[in-house]
Amino acid sequence: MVSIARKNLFHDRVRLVISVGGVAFATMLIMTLIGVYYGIFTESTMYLMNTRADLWVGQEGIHDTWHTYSLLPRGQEDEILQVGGVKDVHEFIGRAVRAKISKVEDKEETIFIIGFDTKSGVGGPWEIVKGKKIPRDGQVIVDRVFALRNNIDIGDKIEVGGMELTVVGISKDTFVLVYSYVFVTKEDATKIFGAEDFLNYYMVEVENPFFAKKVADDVKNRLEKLGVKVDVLTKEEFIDNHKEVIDESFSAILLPLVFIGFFIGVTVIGLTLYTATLEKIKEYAILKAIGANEGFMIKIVLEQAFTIAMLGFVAGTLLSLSAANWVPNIAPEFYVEINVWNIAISFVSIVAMSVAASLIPIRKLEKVDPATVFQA
Amino acid sequence: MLIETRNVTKIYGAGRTAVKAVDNVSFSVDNGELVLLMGPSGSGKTTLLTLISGLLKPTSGNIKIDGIEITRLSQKELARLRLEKIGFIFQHFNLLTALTALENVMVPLIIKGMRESEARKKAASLLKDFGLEDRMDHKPEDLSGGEQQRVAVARAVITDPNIIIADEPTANLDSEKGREVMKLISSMVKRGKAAIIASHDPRVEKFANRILYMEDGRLKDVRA
Repeated sequence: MVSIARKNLFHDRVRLVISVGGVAFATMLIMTLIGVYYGIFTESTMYLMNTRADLWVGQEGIHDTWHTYSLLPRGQEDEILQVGGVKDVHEFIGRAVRAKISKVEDKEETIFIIGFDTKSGVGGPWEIVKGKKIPRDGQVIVDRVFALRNNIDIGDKIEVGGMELTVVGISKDTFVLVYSYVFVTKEDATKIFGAEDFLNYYMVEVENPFFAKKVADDVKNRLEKLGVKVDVLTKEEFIDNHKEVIDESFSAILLPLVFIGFFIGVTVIGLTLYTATLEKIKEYAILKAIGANEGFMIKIVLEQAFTIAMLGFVAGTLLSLSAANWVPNIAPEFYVEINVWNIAISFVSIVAMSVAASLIPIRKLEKVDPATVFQA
Repeated sequence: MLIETRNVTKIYGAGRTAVKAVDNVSFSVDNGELVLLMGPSGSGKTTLLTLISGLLKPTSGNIKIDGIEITRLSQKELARLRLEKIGFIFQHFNLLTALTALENVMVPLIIKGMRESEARKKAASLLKDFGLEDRMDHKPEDLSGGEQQRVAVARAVITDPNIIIADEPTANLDSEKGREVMKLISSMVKRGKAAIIASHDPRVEKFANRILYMEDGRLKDVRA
């Protein structure tokens, strides 16, 4: 196909490469930022997704495990098990605490310590990259990011609440934004928190997840009749609550950066098209003189814009996929998730960029005077 | 009549700075006629060609192209009229630099909406007739001046227009190449087209059926 637009673009290859490179980096910026956004969502809800709990029973007023604190009396398992549709009940004891890294002097870091039932394994780590999956008393399974950041390996020790714990396993996908999940037995967690009479949540497995909401209401009613005020959230509701916290905290930071990426892209494509249009202004006058109408001219500019945008998008997507793979090697906390939605949003942004960037060159072309073809 | 002008006047600017570039010009060109427009620089030749092409609106007067009064047409209608009825040849060839000779000739057909394969075939055949079959895939920068102007003539006639408008088509060519280009234009006229050529070049005179002299925007003399 004889495409005047593409022929014009490829005529000056250096400028084309610079333009495509600019759009590729804008795409990479947008895609990576959106990837970080999705990555935070995924990371922060990974624990809830991978724990076999269908219902979370917490103190009345709970919203999420980070910002709202739940304290419930122990010993309610049997009451909950009496509710129709309940398959099993497990204790969850966990909160953020400071941990001393024995290997490094004066080094402390905030971790989220979780005590779980080692017999059922519910509430514990789901993927281990090194060592054991189930700790015994006095042992701990730490998150991979925490281990990498502090140069911790199997056999090293950390100190939490005056208790020294030996690292016996390293888990994966258990880092959430600012702190890592570490796993101990529920007995050790009880000692660390000094909470013999209390726990934080009951994790409930139901027989049929389709009826989870109905079972949740029944659990709430039963416990409230006993004077224990609770809120019972389904796994999905609890995940949504955590996503809401992330959304409230990070949208305000990430969205402006995504817009900056968008404007960089618009500027790059716009400048390229504008200079390309100016350079060929006489040729556009020739086209007008020999009978090309406005639509034909607009099509040329849009085709140029889309060609730059699509080439930049493909290059940017490849760069982003590559970055998503190697960046965690440098910064393990950094999790970039390039999913279908991320690619779709970036694609729509790039298309919008090309349209926006075409407006000024199109206005310029509308003003081209074809009578200038007769001038020397 | 293919071209008919009646009392055409074009004034640039207004008030004390107004310049009358074309002053009350009336003439007509029929099928099979090659009309040469001569006169000194600034006499209004190019402005008159621009008006006939519909690229400028006259201040007053009427212009008919193939029976159509063009002073009342919209920009879109004028573009269509130029595409279908007029072929242009310029002093500086005005080829599109990013396209090959063949693609340059195809451009008017593509604008008209012809299928690419058909346009390619038609353009290649015409370039072959013009003796440029070995130069089709070359870009303008790789062609000589004479070759570029022959490509420009091919582009002008590829849509089979009735009228050819040329502005100094031989000015940048040596005598042999200039003669070749004029022979091509003349052969089109002999097939029933009309041509109006603005030129200072006395070599063009022998190809003309009629010569119009312009001075200070007016037609001074008409020589058959």
